[in-house]
Amino acid sequence: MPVRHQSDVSAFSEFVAARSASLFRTAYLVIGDHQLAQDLLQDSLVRTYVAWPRLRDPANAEAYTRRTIVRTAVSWRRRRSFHELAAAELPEGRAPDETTRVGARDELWSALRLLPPRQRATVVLRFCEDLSEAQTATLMDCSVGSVKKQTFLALGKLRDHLGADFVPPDQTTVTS
Amino acid sequence: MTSFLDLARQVESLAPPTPDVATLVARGERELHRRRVAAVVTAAAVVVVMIAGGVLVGGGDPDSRGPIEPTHRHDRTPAPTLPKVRQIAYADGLRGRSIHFGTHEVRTGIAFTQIDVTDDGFLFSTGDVHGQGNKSLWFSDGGSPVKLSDSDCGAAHGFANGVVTGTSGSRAVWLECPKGAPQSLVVFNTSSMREVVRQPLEPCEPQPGGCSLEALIGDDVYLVDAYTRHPDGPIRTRGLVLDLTTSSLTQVSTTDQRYAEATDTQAYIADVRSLARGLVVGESPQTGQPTDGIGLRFSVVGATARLVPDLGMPNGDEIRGPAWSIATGRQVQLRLPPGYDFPGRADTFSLFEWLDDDTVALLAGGGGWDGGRSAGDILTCRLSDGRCRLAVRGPAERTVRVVPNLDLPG
Repeated sequence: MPVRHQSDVSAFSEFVAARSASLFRTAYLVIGDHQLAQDLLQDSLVRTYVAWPRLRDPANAEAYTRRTIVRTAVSWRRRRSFHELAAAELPEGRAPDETTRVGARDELWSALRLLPPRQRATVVLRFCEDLSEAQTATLMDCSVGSVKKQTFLALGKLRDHLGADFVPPDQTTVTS
Repeated sequence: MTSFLDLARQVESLAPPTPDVATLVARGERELHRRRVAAVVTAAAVVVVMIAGGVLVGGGDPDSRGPIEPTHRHDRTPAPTLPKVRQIAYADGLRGRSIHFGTHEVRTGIAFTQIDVTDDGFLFSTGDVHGQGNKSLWFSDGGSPVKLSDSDCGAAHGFANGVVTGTSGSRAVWLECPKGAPQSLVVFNTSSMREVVRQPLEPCEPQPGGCSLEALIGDDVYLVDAYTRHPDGPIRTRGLVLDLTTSSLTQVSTTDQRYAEATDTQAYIADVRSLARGLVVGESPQTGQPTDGIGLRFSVVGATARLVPDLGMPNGDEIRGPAWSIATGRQVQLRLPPGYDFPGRADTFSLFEWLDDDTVALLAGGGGWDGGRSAGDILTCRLSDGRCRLAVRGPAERTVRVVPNLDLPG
């Protein structure tokens, strides 16, 4: 016999339909693998379903799912690194590549994949998802100071990998 | 910044997945059902424990009535009769006065800093972790403890971190420090209760730091010697190995290292590969890193709650699973017991004892109070089929569990 009420299931279904694409983007950026990102999204959505009565508001549900994605990804990457195969390029998307910029993007993608899990997640949340330091800290369950430190270390490594090609993000444009 | 946003846009353009809501709901319902069953089982177990506890609890605080000399608390069950199967040893609290060993609880009457275990019983050493206080070494087979040695190796030594035992067998090894002489290595057989080796170690001069023991692998004792080339020169360390069959002492590390470890050498790796009780962590049994498994940390992974090892290397790196049995060459795939995968449980488990060639004991959460609700639980796991069971429930909240071979928290 189902534990959740039908109304909860309906609300959850609506949430999945509305937010899956956005949540998948986060999953893909932090885990770096298309298949793993789908697994990660599904696992996180199941946890959200289990926690649904505590969440109710879709905004809470999205934040909860995103936080689960980030934390699980950091954990998976730490534990699964021995299985992970480096993918040098992004999977083909629906939009055609802009050939003049793909090379630079793929170098950034490759460099991003070399970062330790927490640094990678920090950079993704700060500069790809455009979150503030405080929002990033909340998602990663750490202090703002820790976010600053991880950001500093990550950008230093990216600079080392990419050399003169590296375009540092303008951190002042991101709400702090 | 533009590049990062480009990256995000590129990902956004990927074909988004279309999660099957029915599948998600079904998985969620299964998880909810599993949690309900686990809650019912846990509640039933609590009732049973409370009833059993009501029968057993009768005495006062053992700390408050402790004589200085150790005494045996109860002897209703005989000493272990299966010497090849080790018993689990543990104590609760950093200033505990009793040690559990198999079905026994042995009252030490004195604070101890370290527990070691052999096939025949357990050793405990007294004196604080800085080597202060009354330093002595004791052995118990589950009955009244017997003093084996007093030590005066100075503030830097004592017996804390100065006793080693193998993953099997009856030998315990420690260092003693005769006045004005190099340290002596003592090997004691806990089955025959006799000292079998006492050998001065010429390189192990008390100054500047003497030697400290690292491991007993087969017939080889691994130790580290701190030395200086000149009286006022910098302290260096070197790894040594003493072959107990030939009494020969050889250096196994390169010279002039600031922090040498005898267990970070090819000699150690070759020795460990000869063990029946050993694991290899890495992609294959041939290419992975061998270890005697002691201190090996396992992390919980995936929906089936597999335990995947993270092998800490002396240089600070970590090698992550899979693990292989040295004895069988087969992959070791441990899993948490059914129903044990509850929210808030510890997410790491450390191997601290081999009970036999196929069974290991793991401590949940490192024994500290930050390891989740299950911190201090002891699991026993069979390598052959990966099954684990809860052998000993963890101590009360904010009580540290002390087990053989693992560092104390902090």
